[in-house]
Formats: sequence, structure tokens, C-alpha cells
Amino acid sequence: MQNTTTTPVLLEAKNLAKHYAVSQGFLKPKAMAKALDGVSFQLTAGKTLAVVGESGCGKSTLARQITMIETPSSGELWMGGKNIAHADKLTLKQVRPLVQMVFQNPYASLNPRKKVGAMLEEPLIINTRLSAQEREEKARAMMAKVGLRPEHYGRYPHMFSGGQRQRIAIARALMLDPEVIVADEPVSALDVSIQAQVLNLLMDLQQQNGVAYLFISHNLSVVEHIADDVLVMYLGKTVEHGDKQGIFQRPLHPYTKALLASTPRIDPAQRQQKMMLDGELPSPLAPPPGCAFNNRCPHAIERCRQEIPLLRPFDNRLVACHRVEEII
Amino acid sequence: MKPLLDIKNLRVEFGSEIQPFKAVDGLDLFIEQGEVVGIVGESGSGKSVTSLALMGLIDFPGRVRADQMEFDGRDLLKMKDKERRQLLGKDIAMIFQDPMTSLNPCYTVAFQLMETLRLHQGGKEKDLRAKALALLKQVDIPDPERRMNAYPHQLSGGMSQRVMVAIAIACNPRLLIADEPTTALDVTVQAQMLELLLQLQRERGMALMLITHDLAVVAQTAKRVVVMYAGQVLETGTVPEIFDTPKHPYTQALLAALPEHNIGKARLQTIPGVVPGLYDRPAGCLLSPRCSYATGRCQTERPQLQGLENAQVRCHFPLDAQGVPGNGWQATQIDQAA
Amino acid sequence: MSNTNLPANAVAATANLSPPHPLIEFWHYFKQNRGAVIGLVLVGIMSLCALFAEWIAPHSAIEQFRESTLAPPAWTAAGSSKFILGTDPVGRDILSRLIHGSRLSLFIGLVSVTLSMSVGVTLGLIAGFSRSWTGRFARMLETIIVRFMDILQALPSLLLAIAVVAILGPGLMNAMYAIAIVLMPSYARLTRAAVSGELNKDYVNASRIAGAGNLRLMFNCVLPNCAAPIIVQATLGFSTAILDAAALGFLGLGAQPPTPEWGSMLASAMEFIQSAWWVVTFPGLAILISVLAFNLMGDGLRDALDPKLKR
Repeated sequence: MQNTTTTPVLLEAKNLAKHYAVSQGFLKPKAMAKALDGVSFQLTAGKTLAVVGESGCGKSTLARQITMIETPSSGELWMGGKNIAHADKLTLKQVRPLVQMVFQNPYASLNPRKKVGAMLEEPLIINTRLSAQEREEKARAMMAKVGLRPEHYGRYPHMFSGGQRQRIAIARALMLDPEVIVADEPVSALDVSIQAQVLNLLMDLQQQNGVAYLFISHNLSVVEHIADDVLVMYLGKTVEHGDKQGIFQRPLHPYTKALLASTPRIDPAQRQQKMMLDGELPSPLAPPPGCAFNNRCPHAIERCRQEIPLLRPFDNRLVACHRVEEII
Repeated sequence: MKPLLDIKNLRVEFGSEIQPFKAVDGLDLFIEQGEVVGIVGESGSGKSVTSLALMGLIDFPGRVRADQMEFDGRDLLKMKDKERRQLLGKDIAMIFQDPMTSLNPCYTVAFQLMETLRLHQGGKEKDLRAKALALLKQVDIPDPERRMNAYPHQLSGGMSQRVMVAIAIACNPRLLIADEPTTALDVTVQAQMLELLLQLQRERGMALMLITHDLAVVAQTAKRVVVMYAGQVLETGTVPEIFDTPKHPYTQALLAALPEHNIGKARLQTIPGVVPGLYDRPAGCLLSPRCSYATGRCQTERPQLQGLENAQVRCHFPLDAQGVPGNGWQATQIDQAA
Repeated sequence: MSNTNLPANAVAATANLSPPHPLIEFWHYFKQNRGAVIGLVLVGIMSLCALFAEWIAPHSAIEQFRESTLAPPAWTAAGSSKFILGTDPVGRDILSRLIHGSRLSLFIGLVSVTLSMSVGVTLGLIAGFSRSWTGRFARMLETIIVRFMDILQALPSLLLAIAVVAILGPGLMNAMYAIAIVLMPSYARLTRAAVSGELNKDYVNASRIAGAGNLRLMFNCVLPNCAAPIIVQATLGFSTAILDAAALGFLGLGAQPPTPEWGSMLASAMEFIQSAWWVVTFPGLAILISVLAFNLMGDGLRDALDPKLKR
């Protein structure tokens, strides 16, 4: 969404795209998988943008572009007044501490052979010139902040539960005092009661540090709680982008409606009308012509099969659908 | 009518005899013909171990003991291996959480489907193949003829799970155990899968035991719910009563921790602490270190399961309709730490 | 809504027991394998012999007792207790030569394994990581290294060692270089396979995002997680090195006389198989026992270090 207040824009993505060349076999030419196909958004301080979508929609690819693990095939990524999409090594080294990540799987995101203290100090060793004592002080302070006990400093990851590991991962992400944290399904692998603890921790830290979250999740009830803005992705493109209240109370795009309808709810009054989708996400190697959603959309017409809908403003939001005016 | 599945006082233990780890500690469970029962619990609650014990899949050194474990009148405890093999896959079937690892990657879908049919029903290859194709059509797999010859790695998560369901219902089981069948799936695929399971259950009069940690899934599919914690059953009840008026503080706290029930609030309500492991099992009620209503009695005396058949609760002070502990519980009995 | 049983910030309560140190845990698994413990004891004895050979051995390894050439072992009719295992054709005490020879064998094993491991593991790391580097050359790097290792492994190891020694000249050090070259491909393959498996895991990405460069990623992050199969291979590499050194010595291409290397001891005694069996048997037994010891220990290590078998 457009930033209408004076809170600073920490990161801006413009038409980010990432294509992978996939080999089809020995003699056949390589196919292009458009994992990410033109996504734009802004991240402002102290706010959370939730990216919602199912597997194959490109949200993990997006995370990799934002954290600069990969360079985008096209598009711009603006941070600190510079376009870092194709930046050189020196600029990357300066910008890296500003964007950190918390991963989904707490069992794979911590190095099994490193103690907690060493893991937390690693970003400091790489990026700062602090002495060993200063590093240890910072690490211990961060551990206390996320709710770990002092004796955990010298333990290995396999001695912790899933929720504690996520705390360690969050502590590690915060060590460099970043402006943006990309959280890739941080609570999906956790039990409900632990999920609540970790979500509270994330929100507390956001309030204290003013950090911006890019919160990737497929769990809409979690998103409804933590997000300020929501971006819905389908097959590499944005299909709807707006503030949380609007999207949850009045979803415009048929896919958003389907997602909300499929989310199980305890309270029968909160359940939306059942809207069963047929089939599954098409392969990014062979996207349907026209609107990528047309083969599963109950409202599809001939135009949808021929023309790709543009993301356009409608009712204080951005929607990519030809028929949005007619189907509300 | 006699229940289809009747388990009384199931205990599953691992480790030393002196201080065993009680994965399941006194579980009572019954399932009627054609009923959908949801078993809900977090990790360490013993819900998956229960289903494995039921199927006889707990290997040594685990020890399975029960006062009674009957399926359709037949004693599961005393059953010989050969008899059990005839039962599994035919009358009792199971589907697992991770569809990618539940199918054998070396064999095609058709082979794995036909394997089950061949084992329990026999017949000519052509007939088996036709039956396998019919099963794939029943589980709504698009383009089933082509999928017959596909290998598991060529299928997506949702598709593999459907194949699993097809294998499970191949011999028309009386009871289908689904252990976290939708946890690894996307939300739209999850909705399709649950719809499919319910449809099959209705058509075939099959009983369905749905094991999950997702309360919302259970709320939408099950008729009866069993809440487990650290190996024990804490509450049983019918949907929607158990969610409207939970009787056990744990159920109440679980519901309160859901984001769904915290809309508009800055913070989610949490349950402090973690599930007890082997070394820190409390002497009294297993939830007492984490329960906000715990009294001295709760910490020393282990509560028994009390109540009517469809609404049991294991608590000294079960909650009343307003959500406040009853049975003479006084707020002054606990220390109020701010 | 809190409870006096927990401190105010009660969120991460682990069991009050402090978990065992990893080395203690490892020893617990290792000692359950009796063969492995026997192997360890034997290796220990060998190491003691190697370290304190001057004090343990009854005689010098090269002193020739002209009056007692080809003396039989002490327990036979014509033997004497002065030479417990008898003497060789030139009158040197076999037991002393064996004890001094253990130092050589361990030295050979240590040097060959260290050399081949350091080069092989580095190559394997580079090969495994190069897939994630950009640039055409980086992609070719993996192919180059892998094919080179394939070629090395395709050649019969002993012939390769002979070829290397033929180029460099006979002698113990050159024999060790040859053995190191022959052993190297297995480390490279192992490491590359292990690295490929670990590279997909999130903790590598986490270190990348923290700014770690390639060197740090390779040696600090990933290598410790691939250590288990490499350690096992190193232990087994010891036994291969001893065998290869013995073979080279047997062919006269390794240690030169009068160095008491077990293989060359065998070579110089071949003609006496019928007449003086002890000159051939005891060096052979020494080789057999030491190779067996390392193999048993290596098997035990593999089981103890395998995370999948952890209970």
C-alpha cells in the first residue's frame, strides 16, 4: 500500500522477478520457470506485511530475493536510498546487516554443531570488530530478551524444544539490529500454546525495536492477528494487496475468497461460505494462458483465458482481476 | 450397541521398568460404528502413539498394556501376528502425516494400490487393475489413467495424500485412522482432503478417528472430541459443546491461545511453561504447574476421569458454564502473583 | 494469570538435568560395541610401542647378532629367551624390529592420512559448494574435480603408488606421498556428498544472511557437520596406508633396509618361508593385527557417530 504516514519506508520492492532455467532433459531446450513475476511492496518501520499464498506461489523465492541470497532476474530493490538488486559485493556487505531472516523449520535452521552462544556471536564476528567479551555480553543480553536462560549459552541445539529453538533463531536474527526481518512461516511447526508465546515475542520485539516484518505464512488466522497489510500471491504474481481489515472483511479476488473460505474456524459464525477449488496450483513451468487462476476460478470468462489482468487500484486496495467490479 | 472400538486403560511405556516414560498413561477410548472422533493434543500428548499401539506398530522396547482393547468384539491384545496382519489394511486402515514419505518411492501408484487389494482380496491382475483405477476415481484424482503409472515423486503433496487415502479405503475398512492427514498440506488442499474424508465416511459408513493438533479442523469435521495432554485424556465432549463451554482449564486455555479468539487484542493469551517430559512429571495433576487455577490439592492429588460417557473431564474443579472452576473451588486457594 | 510454581518469566523451562557432554555421550555408544573397544585397546598398545620403542624393545632394531642368525622363537626347542621371537637372517632380533616398526607404521598412517585428508576434504568442499556459486567457471569446477577423482580411483591403487614412487624415487617419504595420492579421492567424494546434503539446510542460509563468506561457510559452518563420515574414513585409511606401505616395502619401493618396516621385513624373508617360518610369520601377523585393530575401531566409530542410530 502507499505510505500515507510519515513512518519511514525501510525497504521498497519494485516489480521483483526471478526466473529459473530448468533443464528438461538431455537434448531438449531449457524451460523457464517464472517463480516470481513482478511483485512490488513497501515495508515501513514497526509494521508487518504478511505475504500469503500456498506452496508454489513464490513466497519463498521472494524471501530469498529480499534477504539477498539470490539476485533477482529483474526489478528493483531499494534500501537506504540505493538500488541493491544488482549491487556489488561491497554494497551487499554493508546492506546485509539490515535485513535478517527467521526460518520455518526450527530443527534445520540452527547449526547442530554450534553452541547457542557461538551461533549468536557469529553475525557479530563477521560484521563488527567487537572484542570477545563484548560479543558475549551482547549475546547474553539478547538471550535474556527472548526469554532464554543464562545456562543455555553453552548448550547445543538438539537439547532444546521447537519453541526454544525459534527463540534462538529470533535472537540470532536480531543480533545485528536489523531494520527488516523476513519471517518465513516462523510458527507453522509449533504447537498452539508455543505458537502464542512466540507470536507475542515477535510483536513485543517489533514494538521495542521498530523493526519491519515481512511475515510469510499460509495460516490465515495467524496472519489476521499479526499483520497490518496483506499481500496475496498466486503463481508468482500479486493478486490482491491491501490492509488487513479490508481483506479479511471484504476479500475481492476470488482466490482470496477461496483461501478465507478454506481456513477452518472453530466458531461456526466466523466460517465463510464454502468455496471449493478444484485441482491444484499449476506448475510454474506451464502457467495457464491469461490469468493464472482462470482454470480454477468459478467466475472465469473468455477474457480471463486470454488477457493477463493487471494489478490495479480498486476500493482502497490493489487487485488483479478482470471481473472484480461484477463479482462483489 | 457395542462400540466398534473399545479401549480401556491403555498404557504405553518406554525405557526402564523402574522409571518408565509413559507415552500414554491410562487412556479410555471408544468409537461407535460410523462415528467421527477427533483426538486433539499437542506434541508429547501421546495421540500418535495411541494409534500406533492400536495397530500393533509399537516395537520392542515399547510396552503396550491395557485392561481391554477390542475391535469389533475381537481382542487386539491377545491377537496373533498372522491374525493382526489380516485385520490391518482390511478392517482397520491408517493414513499418515507426511504423504511424501508414506508411499514407497520405488514402486508406481498402481503397484502399491494393487498390493493391498492382492493381499486382502486376491483375484486376477486385470480385475485388480480395474479396481485400482476405480479407487483413484473415487478419491477425485484428476486424470487417473495417467496417474496409475506415476511414481510417488512425480505427485504433489495433495495428490500423494489422495493416493494414500485410496490405498486405505481399498478394502472398505470399518475404521480409518488419520494421523495428522492435513498438517503438511496447503489450506485449500486441506479443505479438499477433509471434504473427501467426510464424503467417504458418509458413503461407506466408516468410522473415522482424526488425530490432529488443529482444533479448528476438529471443530469442522468431528462429532466427538478427546483432548489429550502428556499421555492422559483430560476431557471428552461433543462438538460444539466442548468448544462453547469447555470443562477443563487446558481446553479453555488452548482455545484462548488461538489467534482466532484474540482478534483485536495486542497479545495472545498463552499457557506458560512446557509439556512435562520424563524427569519433571508432577505428582498431582499433570497440568498443575501451568494451570492458572491450580490449588494445593491439584499439586498433590492426581484427578480421575469423571462424568457421563460423552462428557468426561479429568479435573478436581471442572469449569462450569461460565468458565469458572466449580466444585467448591476458591480463588483464594492459589497465590495470586501479578 | 500466573502461578507461583514458575518464575515470572517462565517461558523456556528445560529439564533441570544438565545434558551430558557430547564426548561422554559418544563414549557411551562406542563402548557398547565390544569389537570396537578391542580395536581401540590394540591401537593403544601399538601407540605405546611406537612412543616408547626405545624402552620397551629388548634390543636395538638394527644391531646384528652374528652368532645367532636365524635363531628360532624362545618357546621352540632350539630357541633362547634372549630373542623371544627369534632373529632374522642377519641376526637382528625380530621382536625389537617389530616394536620399532610399529612406530614407522603409525607414522606412515598418520602422515598419509593427514595429507590425503586435508587435500581431499578441501577439494570435496570446493566441489560441493561450487554448485551454488555463480559463473560458468564455478560450475565447471565441480565437474573438473569430480572427473579427476574418478580417474584417480579408476587406476589400481598399487600400480598408481608404484608409478608415483618410480617418478619420485624409492624411499619412505615418497612412499607416503604416493599412498596419500591414492587415498585422496575417497575423501573428496565423501565430503562432496555430505556437503551436498547439508547445503540445502536452512542454517547455511542463515549464516549466508549474516554475511558469512565462502571460506567461513565451508570450514566453520558445514565441515563440522560432515565430520562423522570423514573421521570414519580416516580411521579406515590408516589400515589401508599400513597395507599399502607394506606392499610397497615388499616390492622394495618403500622403506629401504635396514629400516625395520614390516613390509620390507616380509620381503627380505620370503625365501625362508619353509626353513625359518618365524621370520615371515611374525611381521605378517603384526600387519594383520594392526589392520584389523583399525578396522574394528573404525566400524565402532561409524556406529557411534551415526546420528540415525542415536536413540
